[in-house]
Amino acid sequence: METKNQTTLEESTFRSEMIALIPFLRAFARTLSGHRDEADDLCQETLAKAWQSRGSYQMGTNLKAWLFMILRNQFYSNKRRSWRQQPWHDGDLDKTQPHLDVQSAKLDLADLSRALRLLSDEQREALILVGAGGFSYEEASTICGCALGTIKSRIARARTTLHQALDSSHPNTLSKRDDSGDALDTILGELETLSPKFARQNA
Amino acid sequence: MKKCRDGKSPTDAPKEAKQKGQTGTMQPFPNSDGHVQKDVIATGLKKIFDDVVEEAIPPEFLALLEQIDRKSD
Repeated sequence: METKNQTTLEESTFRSEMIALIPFLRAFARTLSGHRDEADDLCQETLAKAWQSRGSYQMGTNLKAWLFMILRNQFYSNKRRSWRQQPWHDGDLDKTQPHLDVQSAKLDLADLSRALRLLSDEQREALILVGAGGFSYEEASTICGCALGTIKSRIARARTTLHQALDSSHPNTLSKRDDSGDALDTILGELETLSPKFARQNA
Repeated sequence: MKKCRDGKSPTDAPKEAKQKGQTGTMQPFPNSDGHVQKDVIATGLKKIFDDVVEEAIPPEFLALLEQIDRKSD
């Protein structure tokens, strides 16, 4: 009886702590995927999985890190499932000239959001976990399941890429990459014409 | 051990940072002159993240948890 009460209490604590972390999970999911709706779906999948696996969570340990780990694993799992990826979402494709001077204290957040899409998923997650999520390098390496040095180098490379993308004087700046989306669309369009589904439709 | 002008060894800085709990977080980049400038990218990143954190939780999230609760009962 006492054990059952204790379990109920632990579940209740787990649930309330999980609810308190939803905003952080949403933020992580949003910055990882770049799509609002996809991010919320990902977050809900994470909550459902976390609840199912609550037995494997040890009370008193870092619940935030545990949930973030589930979320990023789910993100990669979903990504592997979808054969076609969309690197930009509609709002990202505006062709405005970024007006950022990385040396100044002013930063256009829309430009930074667009620049984040230039990073690999691994670089972006490492940067977000440490730069915004409040995790240490060690915690980030545990969440991502990689070595500490790997996290450090991913963050360093991510920051270099962002600096270059946002620096209007640099050849790799965002404004000089505007045609990348079009080129990718062309390639994907050609791939689609080669797919069996397309072949059946035109048979 | 080689000492700096202020009498501290090069390994003192990381130790001091650790005591202040400063390890494991991104440190700002020094520029070519060696001066550390305010890291606008880190600040912007935090702002993007915090903006989502401050959003109200959509009702479907709470509905999902209630649904999970009902299933587990």
